[in-house]
Amino acid sequence: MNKFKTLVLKASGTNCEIETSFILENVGFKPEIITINELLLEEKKIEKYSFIVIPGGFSYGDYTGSGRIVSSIIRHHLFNRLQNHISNGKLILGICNGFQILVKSGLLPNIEGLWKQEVSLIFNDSFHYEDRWVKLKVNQNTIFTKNFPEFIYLPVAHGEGKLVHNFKKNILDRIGVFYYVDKNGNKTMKYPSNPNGSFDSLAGIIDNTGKILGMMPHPERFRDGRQFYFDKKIDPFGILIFENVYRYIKEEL
Amino acid sequence: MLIEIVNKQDEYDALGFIVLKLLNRYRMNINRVRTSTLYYLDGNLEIDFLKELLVDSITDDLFVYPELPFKNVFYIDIYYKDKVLDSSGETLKEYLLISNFKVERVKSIRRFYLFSEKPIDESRIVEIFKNRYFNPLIEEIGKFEIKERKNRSLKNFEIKYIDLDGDLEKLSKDMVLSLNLNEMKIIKDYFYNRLKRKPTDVELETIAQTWSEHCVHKTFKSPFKYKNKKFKNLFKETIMKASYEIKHPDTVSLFSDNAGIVKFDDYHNICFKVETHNHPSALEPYGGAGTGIGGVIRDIIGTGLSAKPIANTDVFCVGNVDKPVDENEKIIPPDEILKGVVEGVRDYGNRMGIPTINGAVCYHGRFSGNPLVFAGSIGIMKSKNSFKKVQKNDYIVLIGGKTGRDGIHGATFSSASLTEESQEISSGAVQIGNPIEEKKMLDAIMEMEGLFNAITDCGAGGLSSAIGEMGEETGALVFLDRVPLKYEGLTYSDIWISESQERMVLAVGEKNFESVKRIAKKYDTTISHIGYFKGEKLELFFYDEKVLSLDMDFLHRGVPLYEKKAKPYKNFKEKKRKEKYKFSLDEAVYAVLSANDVRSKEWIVRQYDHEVQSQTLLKPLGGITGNAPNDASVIYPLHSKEKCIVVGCGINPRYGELNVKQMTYSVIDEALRNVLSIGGDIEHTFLLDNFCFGDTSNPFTLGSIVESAVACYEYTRLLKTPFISGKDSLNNYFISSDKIIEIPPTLLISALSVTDITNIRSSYFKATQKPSSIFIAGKKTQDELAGSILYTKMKISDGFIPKVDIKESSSIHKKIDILNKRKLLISAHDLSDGGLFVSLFESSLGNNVGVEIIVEDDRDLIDFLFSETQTRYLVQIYDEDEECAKSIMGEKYLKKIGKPIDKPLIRIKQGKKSFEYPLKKLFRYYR
Repeated sequence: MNKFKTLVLKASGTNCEIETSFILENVGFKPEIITINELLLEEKKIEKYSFIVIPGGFSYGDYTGSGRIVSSIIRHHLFNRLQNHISNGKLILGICNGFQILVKSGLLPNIEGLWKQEVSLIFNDSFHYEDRWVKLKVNQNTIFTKNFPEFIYLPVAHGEGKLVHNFKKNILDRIGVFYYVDKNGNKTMKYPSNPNGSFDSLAGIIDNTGKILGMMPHPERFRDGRQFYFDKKIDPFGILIFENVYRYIKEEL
Repeated sequence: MLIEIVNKQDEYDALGFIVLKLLNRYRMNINRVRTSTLYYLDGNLEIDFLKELLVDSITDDLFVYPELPFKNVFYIDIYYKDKVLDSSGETLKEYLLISNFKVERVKSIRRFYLFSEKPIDESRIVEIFKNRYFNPLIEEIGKFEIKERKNRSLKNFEIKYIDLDGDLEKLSKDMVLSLNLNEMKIIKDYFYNRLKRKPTDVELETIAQTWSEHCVHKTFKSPFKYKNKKFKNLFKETIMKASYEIKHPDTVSLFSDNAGIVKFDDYHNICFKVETHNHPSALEPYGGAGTGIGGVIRDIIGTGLSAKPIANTDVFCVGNVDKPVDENEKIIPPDEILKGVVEGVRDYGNRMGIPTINGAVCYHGRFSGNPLVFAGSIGIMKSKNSFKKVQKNDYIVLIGGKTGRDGIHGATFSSASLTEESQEISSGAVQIGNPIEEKKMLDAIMEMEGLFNAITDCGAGGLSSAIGEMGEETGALVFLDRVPLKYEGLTYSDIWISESQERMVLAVGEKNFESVKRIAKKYDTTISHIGYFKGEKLELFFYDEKVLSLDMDFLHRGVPLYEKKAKPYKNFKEKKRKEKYKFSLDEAVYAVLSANDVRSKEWIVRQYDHEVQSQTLLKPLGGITGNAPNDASVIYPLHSKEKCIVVGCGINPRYGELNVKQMTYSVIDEALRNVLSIGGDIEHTFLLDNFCFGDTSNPFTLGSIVESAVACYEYTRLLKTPFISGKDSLNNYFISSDKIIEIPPTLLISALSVTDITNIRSSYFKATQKPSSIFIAGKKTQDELAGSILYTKMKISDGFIPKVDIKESSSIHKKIDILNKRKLLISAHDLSDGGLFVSLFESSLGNNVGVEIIVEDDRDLIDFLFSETQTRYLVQIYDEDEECAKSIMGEKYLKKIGKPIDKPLIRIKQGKKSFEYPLKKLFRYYR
């Protein structure tokens, strides 16, 4: 079995699965795009994969709240298998809509260990969708962000990315991975550096086990330095996450 | 069951804050607003399941009716009328059904709680919310009440025959056929003398759809007489003629398929189409623009054997937003139209996962009652999939959404004019789209590659025009009772002409049908086998009764075309400006930068996902500041190592009003400048035309169409940039109580250029190590300010309009192309709306690189800085490359005007005078 087999989960309305597979492939993974309908026919399939990515988009149109229907499907049909996936040391990444799904299904961050929803992602303060590049401060102490520079740039594109929570500071430091910062590198609540009004400037968080990462910015949209929003020679930060996961799977699994 | 989901805290309710701000603007004495979502569910359901599904445990609380979250607080509900698509309700219902609940009906309701110490005047609230938070055409406002729905089954039906002995004109009007007396007479002759019987209702409807201006483009294909010149077929002898004379080796399919197709690389072709959705958007901006983009995306999916949409474009023309709308005028205020269409494109395009990368907005008083909404889409396909052909006996397969009674008479309606009553009577013509339906269909069709022989979309005219067109050579036999319906109660005629969105028709060989079905299931989209392509005629059955039988030949070639008598459009009379300007340079600068046509469109651009699919190389906005507009955007398909696609456009209704021919030259010029400024390749640039003109019964309007079409021919022939596809939308006028307001002649030219990735560069100035200078490349700046942004703002009505000498201009563009290919430009930005000053400002804005301009002669600075002379580029060139660039352009066409400076300001020097404008200050006006 190829241990780099990656599941890219597609619901109706998911729309970033192709570029997500493309960047995975570039790094060396063997991604497979599987629709929820296919997965529900054969739930066991999940066991084949070392890495699960839930890409961005508008699953079921987000019409009943972003990510809620897929979260419901996960809770009713796939929950145990995903728990096993994590306890076997395997990884999950949720990007944008995928992040919303992970949070609302109770998989992320699961600090209390009760597998209940603990944080939420709600409408941006502007109440509309917005596509822009942001500067992020990175916590390098995770599998996903090892050896990252302190600051990176990635694009965000979402309408519901305001992270809200009731956590205390000590927990925040454990879960925070990406923070919106101003041009001087300070965490900020100011628009547009913090594009949605996220509490504590949080743009991405990790779970209790360190195996599940959710983030609003889109790493798959920065695979090539030329995609940067102005003319500056710069390394494509988006690819780093996937390279880290590849290395982890290669060495640890 | 009626359940309500409400945020736990004010802080989580962003919409509540926004509504509060709005109501405060109207001094409504409201001190707090909270919003909630309700679902009315008719069925056997578990509250725990619903709670887990719908309620965010961190931010939301759930209330079950009659419990209310706020007691004794005024509230108002907004919800869709019955039969209007309610995406939230439908999505929830479908999920409950697959989760094994029995559920009949789900409806979503938005509720607004308004807190006030004083009594609230509900009618004032309704007035403020109208066209902002609800549209009376499709939504109800008030307190939600459960209404029983009456459904009638139509299995016991009667075929309706129509008598053609009476007043035919009246009949055409009563049935909304939009056919004239001559056409009605020809139809009567066909039935009474050839078939020897009366037509059925659906037969008349089908002919009306197929012969509508919208579907057949009667005007453009008609013979014309104009200024002693005769055209047998205006379209063939102008737009098409240029393309055939150019004989571009990379054009694959011109004017025949749903979109024009050109070569991308050795293995792929790309196609491009731009459509208009004007009349629906006038009545329901959000739904109209959304279904406009949805429709053009289906055009791309339906081109050849299907292309994958990779980028969208959108251009809007709206009324004057600065002038308050008279409350008695029954139109939606232009600023609400603009907000609505932006949200429509946003919510549809973003959900489809297609980046919206290019667009424009124009403002003109005459668009108030009849705005224009252009929606474009670009697709990529394997070269071998460029052509389709229906095979005899192929299954007729309908894929996508279900059919309802929406959008009936859209094609015939959009071919008529708009009146004040339109918003009240035309509810059938307006549709709300469901992009997820279309996304599922798109994903399924992409996987069906190789399994079908032909494909087309159900747009205007619904099944009628889709199957009518596809079966033109094979004949078609359709069983209408096999079409999946949204609800019971549709007649055979409704099913046939319904314009329900998100549906396409495939021609599938028998042996592939099972595979097609399996793929549809995987992607959760509906598929049904509704007939066969065979039998030569078009025949429809409904529960075993034949309800329509028409000869394909009559249907497709029976429409009579009459010679149109066109009179010369009354061009603006130019005259030299006599008086001195009564305003200062400062005033001109601030007026122009804050003009609606000029000022930043960032609020629109950023609401669109312009990076999904991860193929966007150059974004609509760039620079360190992220504020500078690029003239065009660039897409490089995932696997492409060398080639990319540059997309730009040109449009100018202000010039259209003054001089149609010069407007036409100017907008072609602008589209070309846009793509060349970014590094596009003129030798691989292809154009699309979208004509939006006024009343076709007005001979002067017809004259403007001829002028414009001929100008298109003349200029593109010299440029060797062929048209590959186009569309016209005519009869754009609005009838108010006392007058007819025609739109100004408006031509949108969209340009697509295939070029090397290494040629691409952004529009704004760069801070460079080596010394560089700023030049105007192109024509000498003339005093051409009539119709300019400055004169429009200052209400000056004389002067000269910009004139394009097409020979001179095409040679300039070709020289710019050489500069591009020799990589001699550091940056290039189009000089257009607002003239040199706007271009300097936008170029400086990107990287905060200022500029010092030295004006050598003693001409009026205002004329120099705000003239809109065409065929000019603002370019930055290394000093060491100046000689080389001059040798290519010629001294005459490359004039140094200044240098970049390391201060963020624009400095203009003329003799001893010097003016300075800090970018920061200018940005405040521009923003």
